[in-house]
Formats: sequence, C-alpha cells, structure tokens
Amino acid sequence: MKHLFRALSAETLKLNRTLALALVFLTPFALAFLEVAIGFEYGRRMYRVGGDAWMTLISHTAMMWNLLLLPLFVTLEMGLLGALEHNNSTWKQLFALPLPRWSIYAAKQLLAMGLIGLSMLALAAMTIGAGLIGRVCLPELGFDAPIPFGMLLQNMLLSYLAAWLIISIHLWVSLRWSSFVLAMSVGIVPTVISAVTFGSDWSPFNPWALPGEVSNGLFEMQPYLGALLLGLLGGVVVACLGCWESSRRDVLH
Amino acid sequence: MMEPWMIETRQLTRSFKDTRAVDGLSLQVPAGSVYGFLGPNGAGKTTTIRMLLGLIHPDGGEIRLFNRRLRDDPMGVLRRVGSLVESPSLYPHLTGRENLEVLRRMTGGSRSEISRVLKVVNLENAANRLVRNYSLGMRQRLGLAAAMFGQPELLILDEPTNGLDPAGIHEMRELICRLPAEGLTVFLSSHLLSEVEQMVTQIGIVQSGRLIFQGKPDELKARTRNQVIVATDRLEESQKLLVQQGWKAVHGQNHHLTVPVNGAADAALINTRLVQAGHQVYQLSMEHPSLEDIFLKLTEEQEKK
Repeated sequence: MKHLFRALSAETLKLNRTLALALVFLTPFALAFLEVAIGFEYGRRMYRVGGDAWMTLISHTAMMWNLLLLPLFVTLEMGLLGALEHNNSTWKQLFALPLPRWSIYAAKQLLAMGLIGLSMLALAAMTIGAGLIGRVCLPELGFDAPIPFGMLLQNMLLSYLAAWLIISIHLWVSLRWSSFVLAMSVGIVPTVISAVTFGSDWSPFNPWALPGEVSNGLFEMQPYLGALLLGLLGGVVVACLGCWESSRRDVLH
Repeated sequence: MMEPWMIETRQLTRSFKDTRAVDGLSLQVPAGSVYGFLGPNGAGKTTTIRMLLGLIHPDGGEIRLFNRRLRDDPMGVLRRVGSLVESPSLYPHLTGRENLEVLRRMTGGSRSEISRVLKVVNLENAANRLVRNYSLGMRQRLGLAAAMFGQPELLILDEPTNGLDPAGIHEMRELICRLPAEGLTVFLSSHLLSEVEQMVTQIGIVQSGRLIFQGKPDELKARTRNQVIVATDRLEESQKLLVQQGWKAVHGQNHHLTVPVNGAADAALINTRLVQAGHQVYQLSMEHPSLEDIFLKLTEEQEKK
C-alpha cells in the first residue's frame, strides 16, 4: 500500500496546470450555467406552477449529465490522463522505477475516480447554486422551497458508482494505446448510441447508459440495483484487469 | 572468486515478429567503469537497455545486475539503478523542480536530494521554470538529474547526447566523466564512438543484436595495424608495384594509397621502393586508425557476413 500512496501523491502533482484538472470544474459549471440560462429563457414552461422546482431542476440536470455529458467528460478526462504519459514518453521512466507497475496503474485509477467524483460533487454544489439564483431572480418558479439535499446527493452518489465501469474502460484504453483519436472514438460512438437507445431492453447492460439508468430509476422509482451493481463491480473488475495487464506488457515507447 | 560485474547478461535474446533484435548477447560491465555500448542504429542497443531496466521481457537468457537476477528481485535491483532512455521523460507543464518532486514522491527520497541533483547538472537557477521553456540541452540535463536522483550505483543512459548541439554534447560529456569519481558505474549507448570515446573505459560493440567486441579501448586499438598514407604522381602504377612486392596497398577515394604496416621502418622501405622505381612521392605519412575507423570497419565487416 505504501507504493500505491506514493504513486497517488505523484499523480496529484502531475495534475498541476492541466486541462484535465480545469475540466473537473468547468464541465459541471457549463451544465449549471446552461440550467440557469434555460431557467431564464424557458423557466415558466419548464417549472410548472405548484410543482417541485428543485426536483425538476435536479432530475433535468441529472439526465443531461448522466446521459450525455458524463460519458463524454469521462472519455475526454481519461484521454487527457493517458496523453499526459504518452505525449511525453514517460512510461519508460515510470515503469523503470522501483515501484510495482500495478501500483502506478492503480494510482491512476484512483485519481481518475477521484476526479470524476470531484466533478460530480462540484455539479451538486453548482446545481444548488443554479436553484438559488432562481430563488432570487425568478421567485415565481418555486425555488423558495427547502433544498432536497438528500435526493441530490443520493442521485450523484449512485450515478457516480454506476459510472465506475466506463471510467475503468476509458482509463484502460487511454493508458494502453497512445492514440488520442482511439480514446475519443471509444467514448463518443457508444455515448451517442446509448443516448439514442436509452430506455431500450438492453440499455441497462450498456456501460455508457448505466449512470443514466440508475439515475432514471431513482427518480422514476424503478429498479436500478442491477445497473448499479454492473457499473460498480464491472468497474472494479476492469480496473483489476488493467493493473494485471500493465504489469505484463512490454514498454516499447 | 566471482567478478564484481555491475551488469552481466548471459545469452540474452529478444525477437520482434520475424526480427531477432538481440541475439545471444553476453555483456559484462565492471563496477566503476564507464561502459560504452556501441552499435549502428537498429543494432539492438535500446532493446537491450529496455530489457536491463525490466521494460521489455527477454525471450531467453539471463540478466544479472549487482550479481542478482533481475527477475528474482526487480524492485530491489531497480532501486539501485538510474536511467535515461532515449529522450528524457519529462512533464513539460511542470517546472524542473516539480518534475523531480514527482520522482521523489514515487521513490520516497528526501527533498534535499532534489537540490543536490539540480546542482550536479547545473540547473539550480532554472529549477522553477516550466520545462516546456527549457532548451533541448537543459531537458537532457534534467533527464540526467532524474536518472541520478536517489544516488543510484548504476546509471544506464541510452544515447544521452542524441540531438544535442556540440556545446551540449561537450557539457553532457563533462558531466558523465565526473560520475565515476562519485562511485557510479555508467552504462551508456551511442551509435557514434567519437561522441563517447573520451568518456569510456570499456567498450561493447553490438551489430545485428550480436556482441562483436567487448573490452578496453586499447584492446580495440591493438586489433589494427598502423597504416601509411602515400600520394604519388602515378597512383595506379604505385599500387601495382607495392602489391607485387607483397604490400596490401588500397587505393582510397581521396587520391592516395593506404598501406597497412608494422612500423616506421616499413614506411621508409615503401618510400625507397617507390623512389627507386621512378615514382614521385608527394606525401607519405604514418597514422593509426582512430577508434571510430575501427568501429566502422568492424560493424561493416559484420554486416557483410
């Protein structure tokens, strides 16, 4: 474990001045900004009189995030983490250090999961911020009701856990192959497919749709445990496979 | 008693598809030496170095560092090794000091070690600048600082002067020459013997994955004879005359003959014979082939085989 903590500490330092770190806050900010803009432009149509404005905002944000932004954000974020090593040909130095290779891979996995988790926490905070702007600037929409912190955090936590599988898949692809185009393709194509086919019979088995499936199940009071477990356990399994594979491969570049 | 080899490989082999990159390589690198691992591009130098660092797995053979098998205790062995493989592995968005801090965090060294290695490579004043603003020479020096971090006993440097201008090469050469005095053994590869000639105490020459020479530079020099360079008014006839008399005279491209000899007396004899035959001798000088010439000859001979 000592090796893992050392590698993780080094990984956090590498994030200084990177786009990968900036995107952790910029991506949820973009969505929260969009929600505020929607509120001002279409608020009266979207937020029904007498309805629960906070729940409308949270579920709308969650759907936009989980179905579209999160898979694309994970794709880009993991691609950037991989490029950090590939572009600078640093594998040959990293893997020649007296650290087990699995610890270096596992540190990246933990960092990746931490960054996505942080962005979702930021999204939760910014969603509340967007609602508070609505409370002050658009009082007729109904944001003066108490903030449903429990539902907001539960939704973020569960969809985050369901996203572990795509985090692990994208991290492995990005670290294994140096092509940024490949890393992006592996994310963009399935994201578009999962958005189009969301709600179909096989959607709960599509890794890129799992966060959306879980979030939707939570709001619609439908079963979501299978999708949650698939995302969570699948993520752990792929991460372990990544650690194993990184320990065996030749470093040729 | 077992020799204190810092690096020893036995019948090391590695193939890529149909190409045998390293073919039965048996290296012996003495402690405290600067070992020049030489060979033309594509000879298998980088593959060998990557195997020494555990980056590539060999198909066959054995690697021993510090008299311990690499595969038995890779972490224990690599803890005592610093490396710079091809271009330096640096993060351009971090400062020089931050790059070394990444290493420190990974290996658990002390903060004072960062200052020490920065001082050794003379980068103290540029330590807080972003690496993306470094010159190529500065990057190479920082790469060397990273290799020396943690006071390794063995430094493995792959083409450390690659891409540097003459001033950078000189600077890097001076740095490397100082290292054995600090108790380090240096294993460095190059495709140019002239670049490392002044630094090395041992030489290994590799061609097509095979070791074709291993020993001291003097041993390599002793393999070849002196030669006389002769220019006359009738080169073709002079060559015929000398060959008839048993000399291995070769007509080079530079309007002179090259004749291997055993000493100054042979040079005088050649001059006498040519003058007696009525040839006008414009130039006659004796020289010993440079290490670079011997290296090129050796690798060319091997390629023809």
